[in-house]
Amino acid sequence: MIHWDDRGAQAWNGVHVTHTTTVAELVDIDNVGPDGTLLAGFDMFRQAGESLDELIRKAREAGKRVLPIGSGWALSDINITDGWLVNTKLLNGCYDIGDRYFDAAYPAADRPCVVLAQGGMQIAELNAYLELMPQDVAKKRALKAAGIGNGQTIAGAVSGNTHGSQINFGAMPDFVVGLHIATGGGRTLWIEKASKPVLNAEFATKLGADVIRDDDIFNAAVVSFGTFGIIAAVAVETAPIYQLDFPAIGDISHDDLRTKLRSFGTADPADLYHYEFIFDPHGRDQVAMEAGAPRVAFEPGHPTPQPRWIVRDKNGFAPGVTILSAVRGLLRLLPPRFLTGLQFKQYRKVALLDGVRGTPGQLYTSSIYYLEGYTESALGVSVNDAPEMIDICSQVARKLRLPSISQVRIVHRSEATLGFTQHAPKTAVFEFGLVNDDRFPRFERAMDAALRQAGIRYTMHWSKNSGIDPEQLDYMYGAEKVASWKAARQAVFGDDETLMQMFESDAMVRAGLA
Amino acid sequence: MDRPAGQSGLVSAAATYHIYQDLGLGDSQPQNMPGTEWKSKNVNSFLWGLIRQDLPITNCRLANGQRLGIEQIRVGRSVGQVLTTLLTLGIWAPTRVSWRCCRPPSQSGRLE
Repeated sequence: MIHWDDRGAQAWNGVHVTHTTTVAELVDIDNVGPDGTLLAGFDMFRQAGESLDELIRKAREAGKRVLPIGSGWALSDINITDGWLVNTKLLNGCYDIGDRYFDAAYPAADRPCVVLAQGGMQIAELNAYLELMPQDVAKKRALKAAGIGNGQTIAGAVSGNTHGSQINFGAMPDFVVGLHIATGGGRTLWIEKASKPVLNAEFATKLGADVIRDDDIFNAAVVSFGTFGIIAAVAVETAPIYQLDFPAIGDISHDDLRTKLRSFGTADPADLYHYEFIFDPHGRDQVAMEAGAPRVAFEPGHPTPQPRWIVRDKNGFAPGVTILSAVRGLLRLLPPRFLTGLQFKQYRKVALLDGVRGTPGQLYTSSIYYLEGYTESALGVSVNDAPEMIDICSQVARKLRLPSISQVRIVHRSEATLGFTQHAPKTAVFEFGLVNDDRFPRFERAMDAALRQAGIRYTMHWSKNSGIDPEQLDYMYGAEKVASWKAARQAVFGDDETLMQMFESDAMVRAGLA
Repeated sequence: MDRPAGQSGLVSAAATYHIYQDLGLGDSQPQNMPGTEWKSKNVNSFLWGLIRQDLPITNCRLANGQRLGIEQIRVGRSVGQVLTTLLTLGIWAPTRVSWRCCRPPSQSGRLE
């Protein structure tokens, strides 16, 4: 049910406080039915979709834009609107799906691994549902892909192309097999690939949704950062529960690292599921750290490691949220090599993926304690270009005196039309933690220039960038993919220009996607 | 501006205390698990606490009135509020309180 609380304009910002806005309305939606009871099962999913659809129609009457908000996790401005912000976090149900609702072509053995999660379900909640709730180990499951943290909602993580590192599988959008979307058109939509039918017409009917089976539309909608309507639910294809067995973090020379990266470009590495490396652009010794793990059978008894999502000591003391703003000036005075050297040493001490074995739900609980004034830049390139990218990043970072180490994660290519992890055969995502000041866009402009000069195609993380313009978008994805995405959007909204404009965010318009 | 405590820049957030739920099922380590966005209110204490201003929270509920818990609280004073307290010798002590509500228990089962 739509839940109006405080009405009227109010200030809003995402959890990392990188951008602020004033929204016209902030609306909650929950699973309470018209008779006041908490709904369950198909009733819950259907009503959530219908409530979202109704809300969009109300926004239309009010002449306002609409943007769904999950956890507000994005560091870029893709979650910024001046219109109606729709809080989906109270839509947090998750169900297994009965056999009768599967398409005949979908393998029976895989059906117990498909779950339907409402869009507002937090990754941590989903992990608990999959890994902890089933008492029988044979019934436990795990996500096939995950980012480093578990604070996002499933819809937000998927739609923003959260990636992590799954070197032979892909990123989070790649485990999605169906989307339940509300567009304001009066009926919700159930969207799947035509090439991979999973759920049948009876399922969609029970959801109250019209069916779209189209690869291009699905591939566009799955990474659309809130601009294809509001995702009410996601069908997730999980795996039987497994663990990742990380040995101690190792050192690797840059030469050996380059050789390894090139090998990833020629063949899928056997016995490796997660691979990342960390390097210091200012380091003189040309040695990186690497953390890689095979996927292994689940073995009970491995405790969950202490998280790194919040920095506090045993007495609870933690840096104040504005400490970065306070020391920003001082940081600029110190030599970057000194700061990155400290970060590099500290990383090894606090890294979670160091001599540890656990399920994805146990391990991926970290994200840097986001201090106000902090942001990240993440650029994806083909793993074939990763060796050269190490040098390019280092040169740019040194020239700009950026005191940031880089964490690089390798992920199998995605089919999502505007998925930034779509580089063949695998994408290397280079991430830099940066102070959110004028150097952030300068860094990205410098990287853009350097990569173009080197003839390297790159993409930018939709949730971690200082802004994308149409020319950049064309360089990153090409005119054909951009046109395909736009055409898919048109189809999803039934050519309704008003609805399409309602879901245009400033970030999307600036990128030339409107 | 209706900003949560600690989210207004250095000169606005002199001290912020962050209270939040921790831990999850088994030995799991979920991050913060809010169900709503931040809401904030300035509250005041007068005459060294002889008069207080309560903050009844009414938004941590579902549409049917079922209560949700409070997931996170921030209590802080801006520089202005600290100065007000100092200059009035505590006669007037304003504070800004922000909070986010919990998520409801996740509905689950099997679609039959």
